[in-house]
Amino acid sequence: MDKWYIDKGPDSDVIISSRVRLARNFKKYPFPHKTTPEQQRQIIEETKNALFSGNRTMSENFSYIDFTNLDSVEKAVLVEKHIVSKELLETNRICGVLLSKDERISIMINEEDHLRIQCLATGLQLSEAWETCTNIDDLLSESIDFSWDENIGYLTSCPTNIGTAIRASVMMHLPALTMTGYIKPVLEALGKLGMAVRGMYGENTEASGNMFQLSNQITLGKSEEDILLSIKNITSQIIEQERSLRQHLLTQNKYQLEDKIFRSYGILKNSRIISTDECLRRLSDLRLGVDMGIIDGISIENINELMLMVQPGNLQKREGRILDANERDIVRAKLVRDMLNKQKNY
Amino acid sequence: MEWVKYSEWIECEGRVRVMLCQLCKMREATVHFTRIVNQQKVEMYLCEQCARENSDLKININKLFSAMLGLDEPEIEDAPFTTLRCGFCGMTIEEFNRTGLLGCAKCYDVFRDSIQIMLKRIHGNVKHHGKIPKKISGRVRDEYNLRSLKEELQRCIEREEYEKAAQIRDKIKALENNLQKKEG
Ligand SMILES: [Zn+2]
Ligand SMILES: [Zn+2]
Repeated sequence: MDKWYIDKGPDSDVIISSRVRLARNFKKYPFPHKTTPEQQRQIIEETKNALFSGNRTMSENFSYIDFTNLDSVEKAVLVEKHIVSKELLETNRICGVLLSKDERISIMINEEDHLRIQCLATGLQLSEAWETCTNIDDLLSESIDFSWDENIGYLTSCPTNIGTAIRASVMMHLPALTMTGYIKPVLEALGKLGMAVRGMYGENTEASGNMFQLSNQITLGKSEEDILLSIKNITSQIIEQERSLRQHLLTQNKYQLEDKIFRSYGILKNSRIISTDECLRRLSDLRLGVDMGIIDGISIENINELMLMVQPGNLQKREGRILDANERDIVRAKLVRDMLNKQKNY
Repeated sequence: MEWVKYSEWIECEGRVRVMLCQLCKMREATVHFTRIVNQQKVEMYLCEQCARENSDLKININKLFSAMLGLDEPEIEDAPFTTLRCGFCGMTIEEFNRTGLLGCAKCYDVFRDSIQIMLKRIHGNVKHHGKIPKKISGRVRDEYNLRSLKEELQRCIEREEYEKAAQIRDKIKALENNLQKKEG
């Protein structure tokens, strides 16, 4: 796998990935849930044309994945990689996604809005992700008239997204804040600052493996740059707190911390049955151990890959068949064992 | 649209206009009724709660209409009751309240009042300050930028960031010169 999500980016000890998403709607069509199948097909065609005719390198770099004939495992893989949203799986509209070869850039078509332009990057790289999104947006708007109003900006199906229609988010790994219980006041403070915090897979999901997704709630009245800047500033503060707490744990509770990390390591290397939830929790401990130099011989890239591979869709894709929940727990345990025992051990 | 003939407006914090329910005069009116009384069309705006409480009892509604007109025994034709609806996509205010989604760009005009209250609650500010689509022509773009810069200048002055304010003032001057040149 040479895709973006394996690499580690800037501040990767705390920040797993960054994402920027722009919502855009065609001026001439009603919002997706009010479109006819014929209009849905037209929206897909016109978007493809706008992207492919606008730029030769684009047409070589992007491919269209049609959701109508895609099997459920393939769909799950796309969600687990954060390439598409769960909403796109659940809609009965004609829909799909334009995806770049490196899987960093995706354009969801006929989700809640006609287009959702999204760019992903590892570590803390919000500006880079924004640059990519805004360039794609510029390219598309050379041939598509998007709904825009002088006073309320880009119009979206849900009024909570209007204005810049930007949603920027960072996926944070916060084991020390969670372990010490300091996460609670942090989360409360974030809400007051107009930020939303969720678990790893978007709305209403609990934080699994100490992963938290921070994103802006305000989209109107501030410029894209200001919105990104406020997320960056808040993120830097959280990074600082998480790092200092980790050091604190290491000096004050060295044995407890090492014990917790090595127990998880032992379970991952030896278990015969493991659920997704437990697996992600143990991998979170392992990641902390690697980041803090407590465990060596394993790279962050290995862990990034494992965190993705152990999820139901990716697991079944790798096996090449549908697995029930019990089978998945067995296959998952074996995959983790094999991958960890392959690494240089000491 | 002809039925957007709001009779009773109130000003909320200077900006958001809300029409109050004609019954309770407390909540925002979101449901619209029409009746033909003595061959005249009479309209009524109610909040959802009042509408719900009265909708089962047709007689109540009729009484209300007659009371409004000061009539004792009005000839009331029963017109079907209507609600705020977007003429372009068919979206109704009830559907919006239920799903949280609008049907099309025109809905933003039709349901403006409900939306603005919501926007103010979420964003705290109701004016766009960000990207402009590439296709928007030069003049609109310049005017938009000018307005944004002036707002930013105001904010800088409030925050006593005078150095930044001076820079913005220069930008405003340059842009204004540009616009004048285009005119002349
Ligand atoms: Zn009322
Ligand atoms: Zn509409």
